[in-house]
Amino acid sequence: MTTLLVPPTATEPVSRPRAANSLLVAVLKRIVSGVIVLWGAATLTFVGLQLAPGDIVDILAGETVSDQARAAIASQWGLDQPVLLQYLDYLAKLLRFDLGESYVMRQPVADVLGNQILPTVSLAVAAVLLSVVASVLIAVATAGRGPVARGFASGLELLAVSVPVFWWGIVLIISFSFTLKIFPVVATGSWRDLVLPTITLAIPTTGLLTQVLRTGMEQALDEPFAMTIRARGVGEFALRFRHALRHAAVSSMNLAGWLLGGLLGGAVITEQVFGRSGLGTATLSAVTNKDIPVVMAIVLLVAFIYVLTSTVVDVLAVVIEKRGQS
Amino acid sequence: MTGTVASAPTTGPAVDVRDLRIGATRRGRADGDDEIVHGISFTIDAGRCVALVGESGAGKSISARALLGLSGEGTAVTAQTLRVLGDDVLGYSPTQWRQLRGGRAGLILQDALTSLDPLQTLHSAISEVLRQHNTVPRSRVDARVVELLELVGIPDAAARSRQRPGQLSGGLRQRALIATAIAADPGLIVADEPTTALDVTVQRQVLDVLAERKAAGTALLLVSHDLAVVAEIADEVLVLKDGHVVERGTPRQVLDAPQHDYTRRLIAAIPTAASRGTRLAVTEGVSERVALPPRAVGEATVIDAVGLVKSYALPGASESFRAVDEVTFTVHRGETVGLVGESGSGKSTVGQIVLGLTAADAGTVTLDGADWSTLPERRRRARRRSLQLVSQDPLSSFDPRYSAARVVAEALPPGLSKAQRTARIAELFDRVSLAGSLAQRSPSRLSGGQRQRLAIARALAADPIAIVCDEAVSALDVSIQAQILDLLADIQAESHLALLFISHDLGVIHHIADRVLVMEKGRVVEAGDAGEVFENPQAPYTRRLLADVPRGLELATL
Amino acid sequence: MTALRSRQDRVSPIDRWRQSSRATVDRLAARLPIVVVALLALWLLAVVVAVFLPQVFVPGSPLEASPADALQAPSPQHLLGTDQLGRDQFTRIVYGLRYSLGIGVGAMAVSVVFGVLFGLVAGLGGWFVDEVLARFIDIISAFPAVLLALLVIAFTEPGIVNLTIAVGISAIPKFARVIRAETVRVRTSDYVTHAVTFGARRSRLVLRHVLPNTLTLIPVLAMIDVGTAIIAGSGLSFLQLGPQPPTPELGVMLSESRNLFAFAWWLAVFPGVVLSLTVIALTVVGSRLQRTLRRAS
Repeated sequence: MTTLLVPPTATEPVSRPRAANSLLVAVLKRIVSGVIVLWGAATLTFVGLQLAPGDIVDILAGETVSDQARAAIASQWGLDQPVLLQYLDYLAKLLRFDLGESYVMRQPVADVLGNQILPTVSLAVAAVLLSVVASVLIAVATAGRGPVARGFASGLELLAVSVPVFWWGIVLIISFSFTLKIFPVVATGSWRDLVLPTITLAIPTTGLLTQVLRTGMEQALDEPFAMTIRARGVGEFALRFRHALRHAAVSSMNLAGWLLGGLLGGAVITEQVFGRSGLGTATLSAVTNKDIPVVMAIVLLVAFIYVLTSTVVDVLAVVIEKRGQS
Repeated sequence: MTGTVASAPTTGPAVDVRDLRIGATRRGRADGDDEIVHGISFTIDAGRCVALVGESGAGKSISARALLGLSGEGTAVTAQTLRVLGDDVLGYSPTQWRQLRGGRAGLILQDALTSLDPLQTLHSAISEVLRQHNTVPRSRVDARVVELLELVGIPDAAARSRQRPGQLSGGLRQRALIATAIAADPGLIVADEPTTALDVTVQRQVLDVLAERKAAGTALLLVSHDLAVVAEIADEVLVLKDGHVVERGTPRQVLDAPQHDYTRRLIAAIPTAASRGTRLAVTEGVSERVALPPRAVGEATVIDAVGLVKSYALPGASESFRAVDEVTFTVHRGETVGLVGESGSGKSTVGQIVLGLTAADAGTVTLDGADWSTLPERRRRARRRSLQLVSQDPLSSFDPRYSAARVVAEALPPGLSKAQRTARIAELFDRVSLAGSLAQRSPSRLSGGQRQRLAIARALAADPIAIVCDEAVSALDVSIQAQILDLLADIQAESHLALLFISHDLGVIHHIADRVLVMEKGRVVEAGDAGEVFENPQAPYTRRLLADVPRGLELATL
Repeated sequence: MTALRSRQDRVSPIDRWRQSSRATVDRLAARLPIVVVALLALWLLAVVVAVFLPQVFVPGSPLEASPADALQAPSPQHLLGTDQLGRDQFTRIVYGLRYSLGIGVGAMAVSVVFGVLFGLVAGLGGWFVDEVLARFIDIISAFPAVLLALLVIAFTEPGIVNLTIAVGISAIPKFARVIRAETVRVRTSDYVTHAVTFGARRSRLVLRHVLPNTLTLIPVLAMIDVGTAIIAGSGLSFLQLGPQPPTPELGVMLSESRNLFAFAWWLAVFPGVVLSLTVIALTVVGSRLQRTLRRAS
């Protein structure tokens, strides 16, 4: 192949994937960071517990007043030990995935929570799927289009995040369960139970995701490369779906951890609205009954999920970045 | 690839434009237009290059892009004739445009780093074009991608095609951008500032590729504000000002014998060896260069830098990277020392070290005979005013909440009464030819040239003995650049300031510097009197640097 | 501040979302016809009056029960109907705004004060201080707001004050991050660099440049986030973790009447509409106000 061109000079750096070494370091850094956050969360809950007014022994002892009984209970739960020892014990138990025993139910916390996890997780997963699909559709349809489309999308987003999530649930129940009688009011164990709660939970998340995706896409569409792509003869839809969406997704990936956390928080409220049982209701009753181990366990569980998701996403982000650079 | 271009028209010019008018529409209404382009006409034959030149806002970019229907949303394009490759594109539907773009006409934008999708591999980008226009059957796509990359001179094409733009060096990236534009063998290439913001060596490579395409029969429409680049490759040049064509002709005609006053002033404003010692900003109607006031280089050494070293540790690398490697130089009173080099040569870092904004790992800087770099900040603070900085982006160097007057006031020495301050500010405004009425304005509402004048006024307010100019004129239009360079020369002649002028623009340095230091990868490869270094470069790097500079202006006289 | 270290800019993606969210809202608010904005502003005015002078709207007391009138649909005597104890809902909503808004504003005050404090200290302090505070903030933000509030309330008692503090704490990271990022951005900006060349001392740089530029962000953040705090507060009240019945807080009202929605739709709809409308009004009017103020400066 002959060309008239000047070949690149010898001084041009040949890019070599420097990947392995620095990638590993970056990943490790993030994992360490995640562990620190988890440790901090555990410590913070422990500290909060110590600072809380009221005596735990009172909760456990209930009606029993005699000092002997109280002392017995205290030693049974290890509450007569110095604080530092309690703390270390607590950490040690956590590392063994031992979440302690519920004050109220006298069962291991893990059992108490065990069968509550599935309903909540299925609700959360369904809501995530629905949100992602809906927000992608809306974002692709409205990003960078005329003012009417964008105004419409902005309006939807504003509504989605300005209206309390529990009210959406209420409105949906009234419209679909009571008035139109399409979906059941009381849980029947079938898939129909999931529909309204999923939609309710998905609404604020969709609003948020659409905002992020749309803004990300519009930023990408403003970049010079968007013009280059148009100059290739690529159509507007392909430009958005194949190019802009990827940019928006990459830059909003890190929100995943936070989104998931918010979703779990919303699940607590949604379950309450629809009378579903799940982690949400379990948390609520634990809080009202001052069942501290259960509360702490749930809180730690959520923190763990958040940290796990964030770390995974961070690592993915680093991988993608390294792939795009020398 | 064969010698002839597949989509070249068999008869007539490749591009025929007559009375092109582009207006800005508001909310889709056609009336109430602000017309941006007022009737431009030109034709381009196959294998020829027409260049549109002018300063920013002249309408050259938008006119060129209109040929692909990419003049932008909110614009209305009309013309008596607008034919691209034999077809009338005036009434084109979106589908027809999509067939034209990439298929029969290609677009090359400035700076491949932002003009290519950073998430897309080269292979994906090029095959996108091939698939869009069904240029080759599926089975041949991969082979064709590699062919194209080799055509533009990218080595290791097969391996490189799997890489993303960020993984390539500047030169290769730009070539890859060109590859995507020519993938479907278009009969027309529109190149919009394809060499701006590129190092001289990379510029050379890009121009070579474009010349090769021209030789193969492609019509080329080049948009640039760089007359030198244009002179190299264009067959016809159109000079645009405010949407009108003020002059046209061959490059030699336009450069050697400009007819229109604007063209004359534009050419005169370009700093070169020939313009040394004269004013760049020529007033209307004047046909001769005016000499600058003579400058006397003093004996006293103002800045003395010895053995400066600065290294940075790279993450994940075993050795560190030397940004500045044993740099030594002096600047005397009334002298302008030019520090020139390509990006990454370390010249900016040297400036930072001299200013005391970055600590050197080794070496010392002495200011006016006294210690400077070795002093702790506490002791140095009192003398900070002696050394000032004018940087490339003046706006970001102003506190966004400050008015123009306050910006300058901040640099004034303490202990002045309010009346004295006001008087001094007015004096400084006058010195840099800034209207007093602008004093209360926010700098964000000033033009680029006014902002740079304000930055200079502020630097003068501190009453310095030396000023470091770090790419101070690089972001300015040629005519504004000329005014600022003249201003700096005037100020220096009056105040005998020492000037350390950092720039990548060889022409600017050649115009203003008394002595020159050429830097490459942190080291000074050549130093000496400006005239000497540029006319008889000794170091191979300097020779290469100068060889890569587009010629064509050296012969231009006023 | 001699060698200006460039600190790794920890721009949290959450902040990027908030920026883009605000940008979207701002654009929408800017495009709304002035009539709509005026109406929303009027609504806000009415809300403010309701908070301070509820008697202007309703003569009676929100606690006045009259079982005989229980569960009546909206009528001329009871504009928004009555609840299961016969209390007039219009009265309760008007008084309820006081609580809902009180929680929102109180929580916002908590998060602004502490968030700005942490953010400034982190942004201006040394590397170590910054890391420690950043980790601390990271830990707080590992918990979704609802759960953080639950945690705080679990350790204390359900009640309006604790709820306010809880919601406030959960919003601290947001402010801290933004203020910290802005502080670092200003500290390392060109104009601060130039100020160094004029011999400015660190204290002068902080006082004259860093603080003023950073603190101008606060009113903007605060106003629009009152809406978020109100929603969070009402959500937690709905879970009965805040004000207890018979306090007429809007979220509490909705939870009280949960079982009655099938028969008394007005008990479900009106509190929610009032709440949502208030939040939307705050957001839109706040955005327009900020835009007008910025234009004027």
